Amino acid sequence: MAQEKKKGGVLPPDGGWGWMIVAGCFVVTVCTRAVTRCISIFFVEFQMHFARDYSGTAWIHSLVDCTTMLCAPLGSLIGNRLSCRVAVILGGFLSSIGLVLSSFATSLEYLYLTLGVLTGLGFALCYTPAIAMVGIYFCERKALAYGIAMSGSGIGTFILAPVVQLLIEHYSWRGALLILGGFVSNLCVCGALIRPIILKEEEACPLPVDSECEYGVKPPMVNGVPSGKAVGDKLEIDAKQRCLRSMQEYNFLLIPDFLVLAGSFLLLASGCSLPFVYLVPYALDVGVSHQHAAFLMSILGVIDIIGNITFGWLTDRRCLKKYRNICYMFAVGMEGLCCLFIPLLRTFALLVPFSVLYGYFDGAYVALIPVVTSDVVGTTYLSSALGVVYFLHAVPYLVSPPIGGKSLRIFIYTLLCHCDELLLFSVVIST
Amino acid sequence: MASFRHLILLLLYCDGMKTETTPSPQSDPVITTRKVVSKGQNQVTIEELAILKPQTIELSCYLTDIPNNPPYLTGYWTKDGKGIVNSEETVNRTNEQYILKKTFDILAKDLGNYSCIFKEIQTQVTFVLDVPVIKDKRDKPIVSYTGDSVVLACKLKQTPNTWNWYKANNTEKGLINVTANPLNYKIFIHGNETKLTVLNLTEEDSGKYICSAEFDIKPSESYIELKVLSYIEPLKPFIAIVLEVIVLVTLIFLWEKCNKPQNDNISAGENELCSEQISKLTRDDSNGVENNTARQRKLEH
Repeated sequence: MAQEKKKGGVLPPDGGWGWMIVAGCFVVTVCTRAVTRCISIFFVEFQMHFARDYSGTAWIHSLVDCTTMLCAPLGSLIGNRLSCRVAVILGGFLSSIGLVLSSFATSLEYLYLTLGVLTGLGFALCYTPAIAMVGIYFCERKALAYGIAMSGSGIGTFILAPVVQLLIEHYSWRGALLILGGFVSNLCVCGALIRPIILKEEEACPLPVDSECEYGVKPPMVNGVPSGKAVGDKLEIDAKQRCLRSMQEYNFLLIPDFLVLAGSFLLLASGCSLPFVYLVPYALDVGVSHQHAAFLMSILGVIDIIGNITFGWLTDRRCLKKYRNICYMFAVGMEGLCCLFIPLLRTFALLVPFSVLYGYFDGAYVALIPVVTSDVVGTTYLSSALGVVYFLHAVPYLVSPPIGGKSLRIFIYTLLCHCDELLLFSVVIST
Repeated sequence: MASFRHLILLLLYCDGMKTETTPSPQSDPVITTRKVVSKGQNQVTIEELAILKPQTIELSCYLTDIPNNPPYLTGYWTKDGKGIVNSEETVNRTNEQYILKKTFDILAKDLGNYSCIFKEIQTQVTFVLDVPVIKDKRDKPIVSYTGDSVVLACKLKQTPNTWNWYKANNTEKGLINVTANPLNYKIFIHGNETKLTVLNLTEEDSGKYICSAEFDIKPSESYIELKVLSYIEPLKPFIAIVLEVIVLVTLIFLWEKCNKPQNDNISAGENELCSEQISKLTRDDSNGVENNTARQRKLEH
């Protein structure tokens, strides 16, 4: 251990304070993804109060989701410029203000602004920096750490949904939004937990100074006095910093592996949200009862959580770590394969195994996205790369459910997306 | 006395409902017959009928598939569990079927459960005659805040003549008059649904609100409970959570500050210790290998 505490950086702790970071990221995922999903519980109340129909209220959910993903690069930018801690605390502040303001709403358009844009922006500022920090604090057990952190969305939805329902019953939607705003301010606590860490300079990084996320190279100290060369370097670099920064931060975009990966994420995002949106309508179409259809969604949610954690733990095993990319491909491939069999599944008994398998591998892939990204671009660019990756998720999430349409078409569409994604990913592996 | 405006013959088949209108040759009345077919013995069948206006109904019970096919059966009618006087009849078998019919004049007071009962085979068919019932009643009160507005809604399958809203004060019902209080109430009526908007809520507006669908025969009512809270109520948990967040953040920052100089001291101390050990070893090199190995072993512990 003593040799790791060399001045100039440490190796990823892989434990210790790292687990606090994982806990913080878990709470961030709960407060962002789970709260976004629970906003749809308010729609019935909004429809009654503002005398509007479903399509008017559905915009709120799309706005939050879309803003969170579209502004992900902004989140990683602030994390790089200021610090991840400041980004998360700022995000927590913004999103809780958004929710508190929306409790005073007088019209649906007001809600679009406060609940849709402001809260979405707050979430975006928190999401990417928190996830990036987990990747920085862990190396050996990265996949397990991510699995635990990402399971927050599933567990959060599971717990928050009945709690939000209860809040609405006792305090009506205004009071419930106010209290939810208080709950979301816990993001500031997560931000406080994110201790900046100075990582050892990676060989991959070509330039001597990295001013991202408060980690970088300290000038080497000899007897407590910075050596002359280091000081000179620092000054020279300070001058060029403004120009070089933006180039440095997005250097990874030129890595061909990353380009292919980005393309594959784009296709994957187009396909993977569809089964979640259309499973219940499809089940009702083929004659499954309402309670059974709702049960299918619960199975999907719970198995998603299990997939997050177990697949993360699995791909951390030494024997599988080398083949992590293959594991990722396997998870995505299985998702696509499940969708292939959808037209044959016309009873509840047959749809249950589909939910189990699809949920498991969806959880697996969600936990592996940041791991695979960090494998391709390295820890230095992880924050910015994640920003770009989630940005690429935004537009397909928004666009593909309406385009997908109903019944058979969507599942074929989903399958095609998964297959394309597989092909592209295999290209990544082969290079 | 009941005025015979319509004679309604109700024909109900087990597989579906058919309302036949056959104009009577004598005068205007339209007769609807409702018939329920009950197969086998020991059967209890319940049929719900929505009655919108005072009318005369002929209820028919058709029995089939009775084992042993007795030549006749005795049946009688009951209303709300009490036998109707002189309603007992002997029913002869016709084409494997036993048919028991009775005509009833239905006014508001006559609504209830009418049953034809066959004693020998323990078969009963119950017709539930009532005004349309307003379903999807919320069992939890609707919550709103002072100064805010709230929308209360009622919906039915059938369209009533009109809708009325009442506010219940203990046992009294007070009609809500929009023209008298245009600033506080708005009523929206559209066919089979109605919405009452209460504006500028105050604590006194809490209580039971009754929506009444007016039919010719009797109004159909349903109530909604409204609770008006002040803003302090949700503010309490909100402030509690915000205080908790502030306390946690302060604690975390304080802990980090306290640990930071410790960590720096420790690492500086370690470095010093390390350099001390190294200088000791180099000094003692001259003393001999054995001493060195002894010290090294000691240091390792």
